[in-house]
Amino acid sequence: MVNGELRSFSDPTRRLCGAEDFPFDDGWMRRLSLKAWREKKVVFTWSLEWGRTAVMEGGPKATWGRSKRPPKRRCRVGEGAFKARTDEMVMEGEAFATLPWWSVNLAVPVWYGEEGGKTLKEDLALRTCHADSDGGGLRQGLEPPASVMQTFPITSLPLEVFWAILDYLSLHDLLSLYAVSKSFLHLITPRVFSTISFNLSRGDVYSKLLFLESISTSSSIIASAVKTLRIDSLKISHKDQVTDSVREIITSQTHEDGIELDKEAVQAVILGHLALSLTKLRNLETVKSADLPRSDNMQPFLPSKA
Amino acid sequence: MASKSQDTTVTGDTSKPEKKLITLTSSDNVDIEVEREVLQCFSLIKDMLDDLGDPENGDTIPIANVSARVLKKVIEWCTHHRNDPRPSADDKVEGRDETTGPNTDRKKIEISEWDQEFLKVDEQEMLFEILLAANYLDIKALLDLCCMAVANIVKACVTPEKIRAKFGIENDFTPEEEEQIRRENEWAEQPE
Repeated sequence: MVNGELRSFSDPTRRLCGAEDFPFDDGWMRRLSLKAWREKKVVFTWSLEWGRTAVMEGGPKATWGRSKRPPKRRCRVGEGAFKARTDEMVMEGEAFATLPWWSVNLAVPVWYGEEGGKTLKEDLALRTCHADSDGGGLRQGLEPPASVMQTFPITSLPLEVFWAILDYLSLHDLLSLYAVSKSFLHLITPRVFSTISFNLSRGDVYSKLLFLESISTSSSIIASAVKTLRIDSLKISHKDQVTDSVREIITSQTHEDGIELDKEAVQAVILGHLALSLTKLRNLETVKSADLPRSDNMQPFLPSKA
Repeated sequence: MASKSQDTTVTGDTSKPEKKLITLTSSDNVDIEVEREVLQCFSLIKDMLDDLGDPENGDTIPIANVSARVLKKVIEWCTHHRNDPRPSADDKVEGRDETTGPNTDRKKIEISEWDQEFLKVDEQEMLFEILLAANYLDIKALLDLCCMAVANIVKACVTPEKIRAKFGIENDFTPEEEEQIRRENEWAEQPE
């Protein structure tokens, strides 16, 4: 269901139709006397912002014309209806317009025919409406609360702008933003986790092993984003890396003194776990390991947590 | 037709009488005269003028998506940077997509003092509108500047909680999802 109202774009004070008959239904068409509509040919130009999805329901087949220089990747109209980089698109049934939630920025100059073949132009603008959060129909528009207006509506930015912002963020910043909202997960996950690189001779070995375990589980959020898994070193070369946690995992497979770890045992540990990951990871294009062990060293390593 | 406001403020250097002026009409119907040279920064308009020629007497160029308040700020920035070298087509950074790799190519741009002052807007919303206007008008350098300013806001927040508060974002994770993210983030934040 669509609610809202149309006002003249050239004269915003002029109300063309209201919530009860907006838009694209027979009443709206009759009111505007769009003769061309009967010929199922109405040409629009549009200006939409990326944001939440609004739905304009109904309407027969229409031809949508694009301006010569449409805003680059700012528009997403129609589901399967908008053919990018073509001069026209055909809309049938429903059209989905993505709009900023706080205000609709839709200007639709409509050209239509009049008796006698004269072409008239009516500039229309859909104002003060916003989309349901679930992408449903437009609701009666209200100005957003003042408190919200003071904040930066970052979640409604055009995608290309959001990506440009991400370019300026460090890994730590990305991870902070990643944990803010589900809205950011699909945008940030590929950036952070598309390439996973391990160097076990540095840092906390235990957490890295647990991470490998984590991405092999069905609950992993990032697994589908991992495209490259690279292990630069399978060596645990420093004594201070052998924490109790690490010792718990690999003691039974290493020398008892715990200072000189058995390289082959460590390799087996990693590969055993890696094998588990590989059965789960999707989109994994390459697996690089600097020092793979023989296949007969493959064996499960992490103690069951059950 | 709603009556237009005429903003007689001509941006740019008015001491040179030969400057060609173009009139822009903002979304709130305010006419603003701008030197044509300054409009070279507006790739959208520059291309349009190149293709169609300058408007004839009395005609204005409608900027349907940008209010007068924001448009003036944008023109102010373009006027100051009118002599900056234009990015070539090769310099254009195509929009990154979700397949873009990990964080190995963070941009580093120095912000001039003037730009720092320019970005000191009272409201986040204003920064947002300038950013969107720069995107719409295809002013890459200004867009980059605004993106960096937003990134700096994110950086200053440090934690997800502060980012949510700053940008008015609701936490939509379940406790289980938060725990999963925390564990996976721990790895990523491990120092090498």
